[in-house]
Amino acid sequence: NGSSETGGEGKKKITLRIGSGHSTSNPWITALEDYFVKNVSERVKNETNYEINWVKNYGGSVITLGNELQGVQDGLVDIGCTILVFEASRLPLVDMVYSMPFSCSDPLIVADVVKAMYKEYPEFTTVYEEKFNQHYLGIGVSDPYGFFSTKEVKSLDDVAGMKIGAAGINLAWIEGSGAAGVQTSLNDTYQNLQTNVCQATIQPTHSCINLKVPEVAPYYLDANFNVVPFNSVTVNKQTWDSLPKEVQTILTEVGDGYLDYEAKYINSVHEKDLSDVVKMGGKVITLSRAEQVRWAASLPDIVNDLVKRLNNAGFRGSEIVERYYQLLEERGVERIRNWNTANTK
Amino acid sequence: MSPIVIAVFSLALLLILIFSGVHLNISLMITSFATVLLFTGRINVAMNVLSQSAWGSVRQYMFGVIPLFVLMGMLANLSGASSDLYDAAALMLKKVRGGVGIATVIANAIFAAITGVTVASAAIFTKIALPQMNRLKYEKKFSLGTIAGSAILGMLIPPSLLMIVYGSQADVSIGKLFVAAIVPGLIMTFAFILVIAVVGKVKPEYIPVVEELSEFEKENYWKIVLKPWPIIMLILVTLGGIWGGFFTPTEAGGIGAFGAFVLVLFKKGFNREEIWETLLSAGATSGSVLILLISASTYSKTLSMCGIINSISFFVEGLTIPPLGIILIFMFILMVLGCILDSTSILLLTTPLMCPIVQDLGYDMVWFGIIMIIAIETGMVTPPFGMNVFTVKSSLQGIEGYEGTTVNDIFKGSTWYLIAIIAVDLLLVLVPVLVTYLPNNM
Amino acid sequence: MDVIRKISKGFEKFLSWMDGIASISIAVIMVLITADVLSRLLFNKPFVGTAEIVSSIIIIVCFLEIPYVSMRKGHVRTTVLYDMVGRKGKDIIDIVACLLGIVAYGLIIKASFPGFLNAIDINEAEIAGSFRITTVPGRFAIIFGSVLMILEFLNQIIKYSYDLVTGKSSEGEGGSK
Ligand code: NA
Ligand code: NA
Repeated sequence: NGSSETGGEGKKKITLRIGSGHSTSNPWITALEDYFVKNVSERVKNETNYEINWVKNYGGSVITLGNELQGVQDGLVDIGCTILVFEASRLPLVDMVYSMPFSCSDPLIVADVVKAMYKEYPEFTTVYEEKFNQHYLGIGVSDPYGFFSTKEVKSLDDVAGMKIGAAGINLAWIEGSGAAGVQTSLNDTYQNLQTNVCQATIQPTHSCINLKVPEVAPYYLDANFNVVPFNSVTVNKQTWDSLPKEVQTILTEVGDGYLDYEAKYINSVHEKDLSDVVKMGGKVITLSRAEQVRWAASLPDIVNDLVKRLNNAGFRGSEIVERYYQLLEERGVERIRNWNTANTK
Repeated sequence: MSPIVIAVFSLALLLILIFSGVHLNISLMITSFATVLLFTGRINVAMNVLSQSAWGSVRQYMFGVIPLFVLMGMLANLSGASSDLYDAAALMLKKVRGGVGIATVIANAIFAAITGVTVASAAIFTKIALPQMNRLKYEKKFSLGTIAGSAILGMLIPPSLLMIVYGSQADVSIGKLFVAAIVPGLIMTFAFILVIAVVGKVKPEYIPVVEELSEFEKENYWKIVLKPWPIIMLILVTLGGIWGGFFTPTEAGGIGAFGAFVLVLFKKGFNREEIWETLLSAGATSGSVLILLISASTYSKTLSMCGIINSISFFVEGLTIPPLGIILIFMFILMVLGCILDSTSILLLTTPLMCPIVQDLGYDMVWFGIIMIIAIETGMVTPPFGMNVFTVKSSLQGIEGYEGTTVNDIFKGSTWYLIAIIAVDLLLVLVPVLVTYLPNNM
Repeated sequence: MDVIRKISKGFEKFLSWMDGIASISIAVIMVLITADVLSRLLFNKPFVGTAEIVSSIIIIVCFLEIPYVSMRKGHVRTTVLYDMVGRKGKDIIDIVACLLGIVAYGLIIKASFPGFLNAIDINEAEIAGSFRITTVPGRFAIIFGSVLMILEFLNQIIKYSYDLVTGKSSEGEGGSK
């Protein structure tokens, strides 16, 4: 809350409440702690007359999953890490890659593209300020979304008739594949697979490894579903305004570096996760490019729907979505299907 | 201001409000607002803690279990299941000393498997079983205590509103809690039966008359014994479905309520008025529980935000007491609170403070939930405020032979059962595997 | 007092309609879930959006019920002190409790309003694939229910004050559990 009192060594203490709906067992929160909190603490202590006193509220103890954006807006925490998968309706632009399946599953490339996009289009970050009473500090990316199944899947045909558990907006990735979507929260995933409520799940890979999902769904399909901008780090506007200039500068600079740190960390975590799949008795299968093309073709043109949604919300939807694909192409990633990125069909 | 000062202020304000008789939900919200205002100095933030909880804390699929299990229990009762269960058990146990009392316990235990609240059982069985015990000249206090005590099974045998509340507050799977409670629930049922058997032996004058079967009962034996089969089926489908993983607790609630509805239709036909009344009262009960969950979430957010939980954990873990000692102290605190507060309130007030500590100590949170709920349930039969005892008292109207009964008589008669509850809780504290075996092998 | 009594009666009637609407919603949840499970088990076709619909209804059930529960004196409270004081003491406790209630629910309304307006503004929705369910009714229910709560508190304050001043019962009996 930016309230300051004088602490030891003549340094003024600034109390900052930081939180997220996710706990520190998730790599993006680990990165937040190991990089962001750590560096902000050190730099503020070394470079200014202040010291940060953190009150940590991870794991939904103050802002629960799906209510983080509003939690920061309302000042329940000073700094919040919003898990963006639940914000498709409030932050459609920030969440656009969720509606662009099979675009790219390399955390490092996506991070690089996101950085370029955010530089080119300030609306990605100013939206927090304009609509949600908070100031953008940083963004992180997900690990590749995993597809774990109880029987081996090699092609689009194999998923026909399957019940597939996924949360929220990801359900769109299987519409048209012949599979049925089952709304599943991460916590129910293990039991649902074990008891055949569903035969496959689409969730962030590392979370599935944490939950030992390969024990009950041993087949991991590298389907190239996506790496997405996954979590944003923002600070409440009133808190921000109350902070000393030099502390603001440090928050901005450290926040800027979060993406690189987090993407590298996620990337290394993912490599280990894949070897853990095998250790837990699972099998890693890669969906061939031809099958990816078929899968993408089976979907309705959800990219075009996205463009329309963004344009209607007052964003430069056609331009921005097209630009994302172009930036990927500049890095050698071809688009899977000729989505209609213009507004009209 | 330091978290400790704020913690003291916050708890003091909360207790003053609660004991002054301000409704729990309002006490929690006002305390949260004042505490956050004091800590942050920002009135907007303090206000937003309330709106965030109102919007975010119960708007989840999981909370569908609350109205559904409440409705299921009420519909099952409307169908006459409780008296069918009692009749069947009483007939089978007729020739046993204390048979009618044991039948009350068993009927309570089975009915508990379909109801999420306990007060209803206390009211129903006062009407059904008490006249029978009176006819057989059971000692009055003992028979009253039997009813007040055995009604506790309603909350200890799944489904249980307390387990739902605990699961949501401590972030523990409700399905696992339900499964974990099966063995403790059976042990508790057995302990209650043991109480009656022992009393029958030690104080035969408490249970003087044992009857033979009448001609009518001999002729209709199997008809009466098998009459509750539909309700048993319903229990098997709902609880078995959760256990076997065919559906989530919310789905089990939906199916169970629907099944109970069908049962009512078959047994009593479509009585629009009765069904509507049942639906209305299920709605009201759900509303009052949901607002408690919202206000409790306000309070637990407040405790985290202001660093109060960290300070208290730090303090407790700094004490040189072995972990088991801390658990026992917690159990004791819960039982003391049980004397003056109702079960849901205690659970809501203590989970945010106790659970982080117990988790840090490395204990199983499913296990802790169960032993916590049992400790809290002692409060249903301890004076001065004992919900089951009050319910029995208010249901006594019009029952012959109990005109001069005081609340204290019922408290006294419940003592036997209170001892049994405490003994079972201690057993589960010392032998955790009794709780954890089933959920860990789901 | 007659006019006030009439208004009060009418208002209480309205609250029981809200109770009715909420209760019907519970029946809707029951049927929806049963249909979803049966469709999944028998036809391998779960409904998309059941979870979102159920969670949206829950919040509506809660806020439509609480004013009715309040009218029926059904909210949880401790009566240890309450039972010890006399008639006047009880009235004073009840009036203070109602005033605090007005504060609490007033704060909820004030803090929930911007979120409600924003939800209308941006078409806020819960999303499951291409299935979208609007959050506007849920956000409205919080404000609407809280307004009814405040009106019910005022209704009670009038009654308790009448009791306190005249020493006669206006009609309602004191608070119970
Ligand atoms: Na029960
Ligand atoms: Na008690």
